[in-house]
Amino acid sequence: MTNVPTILESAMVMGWFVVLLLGEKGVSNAADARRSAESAAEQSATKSSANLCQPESASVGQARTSPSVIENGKPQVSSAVAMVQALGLGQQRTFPNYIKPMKNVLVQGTSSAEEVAGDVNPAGKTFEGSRDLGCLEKPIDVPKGSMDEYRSRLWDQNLRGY
Amino acid sequence: MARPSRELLRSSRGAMALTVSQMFIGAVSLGIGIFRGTEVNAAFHHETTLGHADYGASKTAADHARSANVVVNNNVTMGAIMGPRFGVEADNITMDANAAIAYPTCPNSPTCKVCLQYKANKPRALAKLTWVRAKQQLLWGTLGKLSGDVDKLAFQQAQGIVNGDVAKADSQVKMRFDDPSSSGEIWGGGNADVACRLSMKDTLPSPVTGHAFPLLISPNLLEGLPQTLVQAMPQMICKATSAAGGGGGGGGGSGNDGPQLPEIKAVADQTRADCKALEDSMRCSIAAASGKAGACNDGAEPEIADLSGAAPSGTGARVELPSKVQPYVQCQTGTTGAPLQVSSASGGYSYRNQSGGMTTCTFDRDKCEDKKLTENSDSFMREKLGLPKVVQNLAQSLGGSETRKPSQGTSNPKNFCTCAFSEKPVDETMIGISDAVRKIASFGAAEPSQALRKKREYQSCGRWYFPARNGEFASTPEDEQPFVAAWKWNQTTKCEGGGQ
Repeated sequence: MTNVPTILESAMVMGWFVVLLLGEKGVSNAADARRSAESAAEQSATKSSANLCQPESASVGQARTSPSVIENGKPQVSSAVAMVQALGLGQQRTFPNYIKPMKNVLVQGTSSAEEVAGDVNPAGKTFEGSRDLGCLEKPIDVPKGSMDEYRSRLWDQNLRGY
Repeated sequence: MARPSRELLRSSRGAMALTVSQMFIGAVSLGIGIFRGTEVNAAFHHETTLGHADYGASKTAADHARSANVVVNNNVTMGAIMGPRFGVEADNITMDANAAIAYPTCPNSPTCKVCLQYKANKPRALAKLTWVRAKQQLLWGTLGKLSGDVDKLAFQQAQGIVNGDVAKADSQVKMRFDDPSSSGEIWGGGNADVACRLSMKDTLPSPVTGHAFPLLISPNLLEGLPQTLVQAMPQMICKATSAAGGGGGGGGGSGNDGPQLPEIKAVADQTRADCKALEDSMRCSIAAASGKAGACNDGAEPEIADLSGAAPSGTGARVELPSKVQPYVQCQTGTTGAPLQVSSASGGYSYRNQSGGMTTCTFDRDKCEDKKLTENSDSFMREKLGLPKVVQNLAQSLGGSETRKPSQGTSNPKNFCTCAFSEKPVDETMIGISDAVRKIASFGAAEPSQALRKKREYQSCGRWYFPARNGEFASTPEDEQPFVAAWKWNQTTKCEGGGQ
């Protein structure tokens, strides 16, 4: 009977220690989940940007990404566009360089943590990381340039015949 | 003490010891946990702050790359209108030259019909010339100026967008940029000669060249002249130094330095007169050297004067030739293996050189006439046929601006690089927790963390370039890269040779 308090007290102390360990485990899992979300977002953004604005997913641990390519500004060249179009130009291969919007890759990475017994259980919570990078689409020109296309159209529209 | 009491005391002491030790371990664990939490928080803080710098650099560099392709579009459009201008200029000059040949034959010669065609159609050709000149100058002026401004505009827009996006994500982040466009134009001028050369190469084989014939005048009395003129236009209008890409026209002559118009009587007469004047000048110099100054009458037949005995040394007198004559004087030394080849039509002088051989210097009339014919043809076209006069300020004459190329040259200029910097203070609560844990763990010895309080700025850079080293566009010549819209960008940690 004399051992009962000791055992009870020991159990309480050990229990406290176990709770601490579980808490530590919970924090660790949560940090891992956030780390995965951040890393996945970064990988996906870098890959998408390097892939000429084509969305590329990435997965790290349990993290998944949802990359999207968004429009983000337009070249401020309205005076050039007006002048060039007034000459009947606008269908040439490289003309979209004047008018197409600039683009960004926007990636949201999400992850959830593994379950840990006890009160500090990160399971069910969503951890997020996001990345934004500029990108440029595939070059639309050819190695010899497109002067002939512009010249040909310009001549036909404005100068051919007398 | 009774046994039960002793056992209870021992048990309670053991339990107390256990409790104290476990609580200590628990406290240490708790401290480590909290400290680790602050470390994790700080790591994510640094990573996300760097992410904002990455975004800023990538956005501005990508937009600069797009601007580079806009500059290319401008250059290409400017070149595209220059070709038709070359064609229309060449047609007008050829029409005028036809008229200059045909007018003296009127009214009896069949060639006279060229005059009638000229009178009827010249106004239409002139209207076209006026239009294309005006449009070319307007286009070059406007687009050339835009090319100088476009990077600054792109950077200002990108900076605004990045600042807005970052503020939306985290209002505590401060951004700043180091961009080359803020310190001047990164696309310089001095590229008109390449634009004109490319225009000429594009236009020469196209229907633009010689379009007026036989549409307006038939037959063309100077067959091939429009082609020759279009080939020479980069030199005549854009001051290009090596525009003529070989070939050469028919009746218009085939000089390498420009078109020649020997069919035009005025040009041919002037050329002969110029060369005769130079030859006479040489003759007078020879006469002076031989002690007969003034005895150089114009009507004399060309002869080779022997000056061997004209100087006391016996090595011949020194002939002081005018600088204008010198390019056309050719000297040869005769040996038994290679005897002198002197044209009887060329005047000159000979003398005995120091090694005893005979050196003969003669006036090279063919060379003179070739050179003077080109010069006189050019003058005739500029003064009589309406070709623009020789320009002093090229950009001004072309409309106020030129096509652009990187001001530092090459496909990968060092100043085509931009950097973004981000900064955000670490959360004060985190710093407080970290300080407290470190203080406890060190039994009060640790000072407040300076590492967490230190102002940290994160840098990311991006550069834009022409992909000249490999891939689809590696074959594009370096001087043509400003005319090919394939400029790209990539991310880098710092700008080579500049930035921070």
